[in-house]
Amino acid sequence: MHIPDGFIPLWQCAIYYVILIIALYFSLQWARKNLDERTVPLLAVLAAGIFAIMSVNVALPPGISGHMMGGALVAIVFCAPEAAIIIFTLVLLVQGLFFADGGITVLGANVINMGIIGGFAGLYSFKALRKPIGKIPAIFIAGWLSIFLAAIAATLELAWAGTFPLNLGLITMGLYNAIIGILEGFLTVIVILGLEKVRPDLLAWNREKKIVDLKSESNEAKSK
Amino acid sequence: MRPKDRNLIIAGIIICLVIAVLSPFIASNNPDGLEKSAEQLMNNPDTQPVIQAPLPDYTIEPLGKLGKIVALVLGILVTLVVSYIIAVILRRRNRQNHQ
Repeated sequence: MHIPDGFIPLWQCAIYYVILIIALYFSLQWARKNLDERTVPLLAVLAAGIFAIMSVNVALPPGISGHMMGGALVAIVFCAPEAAIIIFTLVLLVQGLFFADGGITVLGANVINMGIIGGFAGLYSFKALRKPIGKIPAIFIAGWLSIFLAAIAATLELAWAGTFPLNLGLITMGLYNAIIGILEGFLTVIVILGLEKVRPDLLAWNREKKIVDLKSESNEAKSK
Repeated sequence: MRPKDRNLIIAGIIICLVIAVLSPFIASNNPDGLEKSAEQLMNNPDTQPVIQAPLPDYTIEPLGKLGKIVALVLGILVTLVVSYIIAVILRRRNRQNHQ
């Protein structure tokens, strides 16, 4: 999913950087309001975990591989796509500066795809689907959609750059990443359920619930 | 830092290190979705990075798989420390705003 240097002309990279800077401005506003002694370690650990998990490429048919991305995961855990934007900016910077994975000129485009689009798609599909279809299927679809839409966005950027033909690009990128998205969906479910089991207080949805729904929750418990 | 949060960091580091040690042995060398698409759609998909990264492709050449593990561990620690420092700076600004 990492677009490398040279796939997008510099003037278009500059446009993506401007979008990234605007997104970071809002994300830092969010961070000032929402980061506390509990969420600072969580953010750092998730960033390191995403860096680590991105190295595990799983072989998939037809002769491709995919790794977990984590955009939906971060956005759902924090209930904020802003957290995904901050984490992906940091992780992609480290990957581009030290390991030539992705690139510095295309950083803006890559954060837009994986952090902004992946984060928004993941969080809001989860929120919309959680009640009608249940928590676990909603997380799975959020993970799948975050990869799929990030890939579609990357294809549109590469088509605009003249690097990929639009139609064929949408077909191959859409198909391959629809397969990779299944892996993302499964792993997002596993990580969130694991985190909820060990530290339910770290999930933003549980924290909001504590304040807002404390009464209704205890009433439910009584009626059961 | 509360013990609970310290434990989270320790557990996180352990999980990341396990992934780093296993990754060179279990990761597939198949191209990912974008690389495969580039192979199929472009005449010359090999481009050079703009800056010289010290450890391209997570490798330290003469060390083989051990080099990959070392590169990943370094990357994990850099990511963890940088993210932690930036998050702490953002939180400090937060605290000042409330005073």
